[in-house]
Amino acid sequence: MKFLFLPAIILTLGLLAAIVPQFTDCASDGLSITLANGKTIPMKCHWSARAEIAVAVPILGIALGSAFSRRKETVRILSMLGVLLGVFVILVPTTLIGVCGTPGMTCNTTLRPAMIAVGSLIIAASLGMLAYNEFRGREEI
Amino acid sequence: MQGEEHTVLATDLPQTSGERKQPVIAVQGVSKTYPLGRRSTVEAVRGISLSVAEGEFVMITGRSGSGKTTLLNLMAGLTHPTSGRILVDGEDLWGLSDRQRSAYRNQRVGFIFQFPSLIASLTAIENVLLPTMFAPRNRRLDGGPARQRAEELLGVVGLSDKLAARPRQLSAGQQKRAVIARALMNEPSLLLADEPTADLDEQTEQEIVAFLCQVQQTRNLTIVMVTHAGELLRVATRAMEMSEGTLRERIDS
Amino acid sequence: MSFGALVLRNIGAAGFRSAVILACVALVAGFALFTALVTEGSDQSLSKAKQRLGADILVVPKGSESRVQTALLSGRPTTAWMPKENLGKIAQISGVQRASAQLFLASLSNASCCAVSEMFMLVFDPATDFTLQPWLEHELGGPLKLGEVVGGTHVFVPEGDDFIMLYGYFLTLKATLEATGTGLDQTMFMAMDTARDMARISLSRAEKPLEIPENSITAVLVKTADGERHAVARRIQQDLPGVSVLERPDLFQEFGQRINVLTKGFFAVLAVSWAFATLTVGLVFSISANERRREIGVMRALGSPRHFALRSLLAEAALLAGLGAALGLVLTYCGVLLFHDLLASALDIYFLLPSLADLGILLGQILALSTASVAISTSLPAFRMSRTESVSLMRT
Repeated sequence: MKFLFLPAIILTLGLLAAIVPQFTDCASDGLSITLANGKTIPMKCHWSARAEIAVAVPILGIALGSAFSRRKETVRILSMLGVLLGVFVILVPTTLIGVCGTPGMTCNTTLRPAMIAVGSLIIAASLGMLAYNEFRGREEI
Repeated sequence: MQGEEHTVLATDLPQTSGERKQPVIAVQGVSKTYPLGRRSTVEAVRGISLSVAEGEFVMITGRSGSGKTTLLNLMAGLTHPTSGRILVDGEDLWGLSDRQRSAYRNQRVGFIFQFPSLIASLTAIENVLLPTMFAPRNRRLDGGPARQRAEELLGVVGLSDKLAARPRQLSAGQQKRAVIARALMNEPSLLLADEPTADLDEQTEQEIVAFLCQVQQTRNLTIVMVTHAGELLRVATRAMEMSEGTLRERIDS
Repeated sequence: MSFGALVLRNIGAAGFRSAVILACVALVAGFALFTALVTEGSDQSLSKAKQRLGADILVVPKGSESRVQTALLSGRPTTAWMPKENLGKIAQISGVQRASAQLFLASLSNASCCAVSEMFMLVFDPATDFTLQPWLEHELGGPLKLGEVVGGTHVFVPEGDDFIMLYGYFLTLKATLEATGTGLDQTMFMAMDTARDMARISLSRAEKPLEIPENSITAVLVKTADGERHAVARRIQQDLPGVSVLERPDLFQEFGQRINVLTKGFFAVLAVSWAFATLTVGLVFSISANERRREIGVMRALGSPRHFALRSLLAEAALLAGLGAALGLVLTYCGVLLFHDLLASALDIYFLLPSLADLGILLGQILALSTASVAISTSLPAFRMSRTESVSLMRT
């Protein structure tokens, strides 16, 4: 049962990575871009929020896979993938897509720092899982 | 007549000068009184005198509460006598500093406790290595040589496959063997054993006692053992009986 | 085995208890750091804001003092007007060394995607200004040209553009000022001629024109002779009854008072939680030491000196306290760093994060205090254990 602790943490963090951005982008504050022709389009933080869902889904898969897999090799690979995806959780709102520039906007005050924190924790938890698996992991079938 | 016992006080024994050896430890007129509540006291040990020579296997029997454990604790310097002296190599044990007494216990005495005394958080080999941690710097066995010695001792007591086992993974008999190995780690000159076979089955009891005899003979170790089991007296070089705080020699005539 | 290895093994053996102590210390140390960062940071912020204004006295229209201070601190723009002739009258008053007028303007809200929005524009007169001009001379080698501006740390040119566009007018961001942690960081500073040029252009190009009332100013910044600040303030108030006079120490008083109240609250909570945590840790160690009486007695029998128990327990306490405090400090600092803007907005205060050197000193102080507190609370049970006779320890 001890080994479920870290996958459970990664699962929770994955859910946070998926859900938090949906409520902290500028669209949730009712803000959008109005084009010259009068059409409105979402700000780029909205696309960051969507991209985080795409990154979070495989993280959920990694958590579940690690919890139920009995093979040391599988958990090793899943842990490494977890580290990589944690990096992507950070990169999406900072470098790859980004958020709005104005400091006071919700995406800047909440979405971006929250994803940096969640991504860092996913990396730490995945590394922890990797270490635990290497030193005290399960027997191979 | 065979089978009858005569009780002779330990101090009445004639000293044969030709056979006299330097006592490893000499207890002189020692008493120990404990407070019992606020107003009364109990005298656990009363005016005991005892000389133990090198290489002797002294076995002390007596009922529960007769003061046997207290006597061993006094000999180990674990408790201060209310009166009397305990001489080690002619020196008063309680004239030494705490550091010197600790060194005495570490270097000269091996103690086997009646209760389970392995440290629960350490493995068997770590428990055996524990005395080396407290040895004075100039007498300390470190690293590889210490580990080698600990492995040898555990092998001798039949636990070579249990080096990494925690106490909870060992049976009562195995724990006792590990404690014996620990007691011998620093090559003491005196082994004090407080009911080492208590709570053990008969076979294990026989094995433990046989091992102690072997160690006593091969290493010329001096052993003072306390036991309630009278049938073990046959292996002793000297048998004594403790009753209500006093000590008498047992002689089978 | 080594002493250190034994200490680590004892900590690991009481896993849950060790985790409780670690968590206790982490929480309190983290809260202590948070309190220090907010209180010292807000002090520094206000101090820098006053420094940025650079004046001994700020003269504003009567009734607008609260709005003006809010605008300066929060960066949320406001407008207030008084006759321009007040500048001349103030400059004539005995004790006034220099006087300079400023206008407070606002950009249109939601002007364009991801650019500065609803920005506070502070307009100064390069001919008489004594706060920004010296800095401009030093940093840019001369005054701002027409169309050039400087901004706080949060003012920036939108991605992909070369200019900031306000009211249909293109502005060149020449330099960025040092952070203050206040709304001055999202304030744009421009010269009078640029503001008036922008107003003229806005008539034809902006969604809504920029209006600058003729012969009106918002504030007068005053530099006084040494030691005459208070006397000059009284004279200005006497001569110009339609204004409010704010002396430098009294600037942002409302916010200063709010921070004081917040600070007192934080420190009260910190003191209580620190005391509680210290007692809890002391109690936990007391229980732990009691449970290990027999073990300690056995070690005495094996030859450990009397002080070994004391050393061992104190080492465990110090290690747990050190690790717990370090964990709490790292997590708290990372949290405050990441969520600085959100915290400032939620607490409605302004605070700067300290320099690395100051941060290092602060972390060291809290770490030392945490470790010392835990060691002190553990020392009593540890000392008692070390003075107890071995046989008493082994008797249970």
